[in-house]
Amino acid sequence: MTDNIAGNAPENDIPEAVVKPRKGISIVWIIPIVAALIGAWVAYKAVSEVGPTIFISFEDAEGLVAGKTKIKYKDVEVGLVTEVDLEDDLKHVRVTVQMHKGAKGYLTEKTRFWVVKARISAGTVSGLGTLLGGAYIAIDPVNGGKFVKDYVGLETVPIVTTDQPGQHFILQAKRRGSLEAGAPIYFRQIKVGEVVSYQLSDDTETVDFKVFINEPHDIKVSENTRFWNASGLEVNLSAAGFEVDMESAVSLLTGGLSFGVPPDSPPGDVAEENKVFMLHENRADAYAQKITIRNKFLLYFDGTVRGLEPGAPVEFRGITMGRVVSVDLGFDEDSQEFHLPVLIELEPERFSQDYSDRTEAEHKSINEELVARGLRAQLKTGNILTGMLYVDLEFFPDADKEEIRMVDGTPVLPTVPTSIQEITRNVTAILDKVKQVPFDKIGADMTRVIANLDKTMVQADETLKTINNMFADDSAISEEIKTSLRELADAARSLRILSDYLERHPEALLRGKEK
Amino acid sequence: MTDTLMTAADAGLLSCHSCSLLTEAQAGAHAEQHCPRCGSSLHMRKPNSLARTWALVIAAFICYIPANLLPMTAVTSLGNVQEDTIMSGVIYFLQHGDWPIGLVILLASIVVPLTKLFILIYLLISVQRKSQWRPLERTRLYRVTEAIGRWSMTDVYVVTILVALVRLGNLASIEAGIGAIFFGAVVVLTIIAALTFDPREIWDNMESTNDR
Repeated sequence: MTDNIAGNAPENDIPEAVVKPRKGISIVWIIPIVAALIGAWVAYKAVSEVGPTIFISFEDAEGLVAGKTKIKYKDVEVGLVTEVDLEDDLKHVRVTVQMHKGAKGYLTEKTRFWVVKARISAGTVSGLGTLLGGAYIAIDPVNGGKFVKDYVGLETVPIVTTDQPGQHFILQAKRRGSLEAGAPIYFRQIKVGEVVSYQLSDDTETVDFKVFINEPHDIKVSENTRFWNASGLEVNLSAAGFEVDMESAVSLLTGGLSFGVPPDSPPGDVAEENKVFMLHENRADAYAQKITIRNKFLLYFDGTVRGLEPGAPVEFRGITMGRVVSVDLGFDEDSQEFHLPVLIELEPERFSQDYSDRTEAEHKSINEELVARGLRAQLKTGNILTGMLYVDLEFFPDADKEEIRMVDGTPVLPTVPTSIQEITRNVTAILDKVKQVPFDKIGADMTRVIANLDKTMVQADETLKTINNMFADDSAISEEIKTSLRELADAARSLRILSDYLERHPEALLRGKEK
Repeated sequence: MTDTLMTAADAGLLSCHSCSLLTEAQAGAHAEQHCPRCGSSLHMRKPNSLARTWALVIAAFICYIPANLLPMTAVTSLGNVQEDTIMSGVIYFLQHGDWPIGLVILLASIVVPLTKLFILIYLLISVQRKSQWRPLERTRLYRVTEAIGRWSMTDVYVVTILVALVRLGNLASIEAGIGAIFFGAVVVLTIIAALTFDPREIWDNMESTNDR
């Protein structure tokens, strides 16, 4: 069949078409090339946007979902959790995070991660948005430093993140009180900062609070600034009346701090970052004069020191001058006697403004002069109920002359006995005298006297009986008396008759009785 | 017995692609030949069929990778954004017990496009290697490819409808991902590839080998 057509062609004298193979590539290949380009671009974009992979370890994975939980900084997504796994030790959760491109710069040693979920604590409610959107991991990026791949996530939300302007300070306190991390710090009752953390100091003597003061208030913290605990209510009962002081309602719950400069002192230079301050118990304490010099003295008391404890005040006419440091028991082998050395601290700045300007020799001579004038230490009862004692300094001009002596480099202040001790002593003296009275002899004499008295009484009794008998109705005497009385009555009657007759016949005196 | 049959090409005749009018080929004409009835251009075979199909198939393959790796949808519910690729959606439905839906998506979005691409590649290779193996079945395969191709589009439609319907702001909203664009491209490219392929080439090989 094909032969027929092939055979016809030359007969028709039609020239054969020149078949030229198509040169070059078909335009249709643009489609896969374009697709490949787009694909390559998408792939490049995907790869280029992929940042470093990091691992964060958390206590638990509450709210963390692989492929869903995001890493956010200022609500901008900077990464995605790709895996949530248990660590090999089964104690922690290992979260694998795919960070976005460019994250490497701020993934340094100081960078912190924590899970943001809804939290309600005293004073603050945070992360409510996560109730709907789910938890996310927040990052506190710190630029500059070596890239770190493994992190330990924080279990609590850090109070201060590095992007917050302000300064940190350290406060040292004797005890923690009711202060919590996050407790507010007030300056003129305006919240200017927060307590970041607290921990025992290395020597466990104090509690160190790390606090953060926000800009621009951080420059208010100066060399002479005092910090004090403004927790809860401060109730002052004074001659002026009843005063209640409270920084804020929040500080009632979480505790709080306040700071300021004592009114009588200049603020001084602006404090440097991480400067250490004392944390005072209250405002009055904070504003009290700053004591830097504490001189130690030894006191030897003869009597008991029961009720005297370290920390007890040393007073002078009712004003605190220092405190008792320690109360010990010593034994003097030479004299075979016990003695009670009480170590006290005096704060001379309380009574001498320019104390620190003077030399030590001057101090010594002043002390000696005072003792020479009769300055003595004495134990006194501070509280009758508890029997707590305090040390009272007082001048006793009549006291025996004494001098300051030194024991192991510590000056010893002379003491006088306690007033109670003195009373006791006097009473004892009286009792001693009473004791000398010869009660036995007196007793014997008394017995003898009483015996004699007894005899006398018996005799008296007999005498009285005799007298009694003498006057009885049937006694001779009574009979005689009766007769006498009767005769006396007759005599009286005769006398009356005579007097009547004489009245009527006065001449009878001369003439005699008429017949 | 096929060798006894005379083909239209042998007879110097062309059939119009549009209206199937049989016309005599102007063998020597340099100019493009047009159908005298409907005016569409006439070709002995679809021009450059193999190269075009290859190009489209390769393009489809390239697009298929991002279509499966990149998220198809981004579902925002209660502020929580969840991005799903085709496969993760399928897994989600299967895990949550909606396996009929999962299977439909699996079929329409993964099985069908892949099947289509592989069938086309097989056809292309077989034609280029002038294979004579079961031309009838291969033609049938081609017809299947053409028929099922459009159904892959369901996934794209579902996404478009969802995006249009679910618009409640942060409460719930769905957005199409880049993956959807690539997937659409895959479907469109495979459909065009199926169209550019000329199944008659399968049979041409039978002719030419018979000639030898």
